[in-house]
Amino acid sequence: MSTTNDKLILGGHEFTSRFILGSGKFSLDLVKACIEKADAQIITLALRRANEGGLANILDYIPDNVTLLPNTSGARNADEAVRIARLSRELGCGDFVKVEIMHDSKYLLPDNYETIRATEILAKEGFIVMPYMYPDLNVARELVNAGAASIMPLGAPIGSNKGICTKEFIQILIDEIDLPIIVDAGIGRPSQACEAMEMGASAVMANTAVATAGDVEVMAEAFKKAIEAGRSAYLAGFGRTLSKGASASSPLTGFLHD
Amino acid sequence: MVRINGKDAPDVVSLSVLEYLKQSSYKLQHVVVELNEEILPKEAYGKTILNDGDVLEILSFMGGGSGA
Amino acid sequence: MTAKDEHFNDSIVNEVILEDMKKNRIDHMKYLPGMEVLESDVMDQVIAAMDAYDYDQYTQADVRAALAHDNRTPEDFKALLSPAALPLLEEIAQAAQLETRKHFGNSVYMFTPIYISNYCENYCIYCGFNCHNKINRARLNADEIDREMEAIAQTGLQEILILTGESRSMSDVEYIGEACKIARKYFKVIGLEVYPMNSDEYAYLHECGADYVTVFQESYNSDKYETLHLAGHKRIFPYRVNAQERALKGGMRGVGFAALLGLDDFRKDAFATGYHAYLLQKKYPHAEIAFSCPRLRPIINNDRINPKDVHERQLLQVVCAYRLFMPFASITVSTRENARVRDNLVSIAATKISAGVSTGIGSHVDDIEDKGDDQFEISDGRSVDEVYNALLEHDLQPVMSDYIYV
Repeated sequence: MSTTNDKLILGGHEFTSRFILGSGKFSLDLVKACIEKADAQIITLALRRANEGGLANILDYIPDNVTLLPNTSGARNADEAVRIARLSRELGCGDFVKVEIMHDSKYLLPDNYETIRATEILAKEGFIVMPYMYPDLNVARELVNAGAASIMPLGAPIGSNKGICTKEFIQILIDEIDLPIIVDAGIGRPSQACEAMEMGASAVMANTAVATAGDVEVMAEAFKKAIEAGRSAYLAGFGRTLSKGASASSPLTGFLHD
Repeated sequence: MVRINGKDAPDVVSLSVLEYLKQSSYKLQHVVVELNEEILPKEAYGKTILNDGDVLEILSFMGGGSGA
Repeated sequence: MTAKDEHFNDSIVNEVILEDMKKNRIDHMKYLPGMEVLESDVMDQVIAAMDAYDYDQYTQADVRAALAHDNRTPEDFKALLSPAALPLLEEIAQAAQLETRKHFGNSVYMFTPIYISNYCENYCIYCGFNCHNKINRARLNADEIDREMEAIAQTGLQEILILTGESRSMSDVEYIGEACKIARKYFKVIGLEVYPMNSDEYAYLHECGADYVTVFQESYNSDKYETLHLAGHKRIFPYRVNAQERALKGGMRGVGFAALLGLDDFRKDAFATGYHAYLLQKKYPHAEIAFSCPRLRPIINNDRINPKDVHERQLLQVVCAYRLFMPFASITVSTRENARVRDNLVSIAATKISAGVSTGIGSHVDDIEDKGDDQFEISDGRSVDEVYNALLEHDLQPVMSDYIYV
């Protein structure tokens, strides 16, 4: 398999980068440099009440060729998520939306059922919907049927930096779902991002791990490299590992005659 | 009285939305406005007059990833 | 059909058939009146993937990579079916056995087929039931079905597969439904292997007690298919391919797939069979998937018929490839194979075996007078007890049923 022309396709849009960068917890002056070091082509944003007085706005720090991915964070149910998505689109930054719905403030786990409902409504309205979800195969299938453009299962609780705790279940989504699977949340280290890509994830989203690093720009670049390495390894196909289980002592094919 | 971003604004009745946004130095290209839970298109800012009891939300993008 | 067809199996044909093959035939790709047309692209996907499958391009490295995977892709399946895989058959069999044990332990399910009618309206040139083959025809009435089933149930079996020749007029849906209702009295699991029908008819038969439907596609090469099925409803290729999907839409719990190995290029047919099942499992995740792996057998009035290039090694390769591609699927090994092959296949990868088999009509009860001839010659005539004991000797656990009809 070739790594040239290896593109991530979301809602008909092509991307060469497989690193989706969250823009939370950054000081604004670092955002632009960080996007460049990360080589990110998609940045998530949140919608909040605006500040009076013409203060600096994050949009001024994001290069024009970067795709904005508003997320519906703050939404506690599907209706609120739909409202936030519509408002975000009104800001004129395209049809992408990351649906993120939670009503659990302790673990910040997504509500899969409300997420399915919001995805269905927004996909019908022409949004390119990227739902954040707890990795459950049945829910993923319903999201596909609802019109999602990708599935974004969590690796671990948001901001926990614990890595891919849900590995086995994300692997099932990668194996069974035909949409891009983007591992979102919980990725704390480049090695974990690399692991997700080796598993066959289509992209990784990270935010806290970069924004809270000792040197933010260097960490952004480290993630970029790790994601590229993992992707290349996945495309290359893994070499032989020790075969699983013991070999039977007697051959199984000895019975064959003709 | 008009309620704007969760606060009562006493002196804005009979201003247009556009006048209010300019008066408060909002950057128009960065905000989206919701009037009484309906999105207000940008082209309607000038002709939309704030009335007593209106609820206005003025929103813009901020940094945010997951759960931010 | 030309001399250039390297997959032409000339053991099937005789002079009469060769003459018949020159006659004009109806368009095999066009649905006949009354046939339900599904909005489904599954057939097109299967055919496109099969056409693109070039098995000579796979290497032993591809086969080893496929074996190393935890979850095998259609690409892996292609490698496992390729000629490059044959030298690795022992490794493949070991891997297949491991998968089988992971998913089924050492359970092997037992069942028997019951042929209730051998009237057929099709002209399938390799089949003993075909309407031009001069054999004794019979159709059991309700009382005879009851007595046959009672006799079968006394052997201890709890699963039955009801078969008919493909004749809508001689075995209509209601007749099959009555047979299902009788079967419900004696058995816990009822499968059907009858002519393809519409989804509402499958729904009716499900209500009558049937829970899974097997339809052998025989060959997925529509050009070859056309030359093998010269007349009758079965000739309509797309209606047959979509039978499993209609059965699932009708509420059947499981569907069975098979290519009749030896009719055409068996690697392509086996690939299409597996890929067909794979796509339907993806589309209907609740569906239970089953494979059969029949090879051509001699029939009455043609004892020359043989499976051509599908020798035992190739058969084992196909069975193992199905297992490795879909580890959770049921795989049946029929009495077309002899006891030695069957006992070994269930030790490696198959999970279901028939016993006490006759492919004739009214064979389980001595005093049914009007008996019909067999569909094909069986190679394993062992009784239920004999197969049961053979499984135990191979350290396998015979299972009669683990099923609840809902």
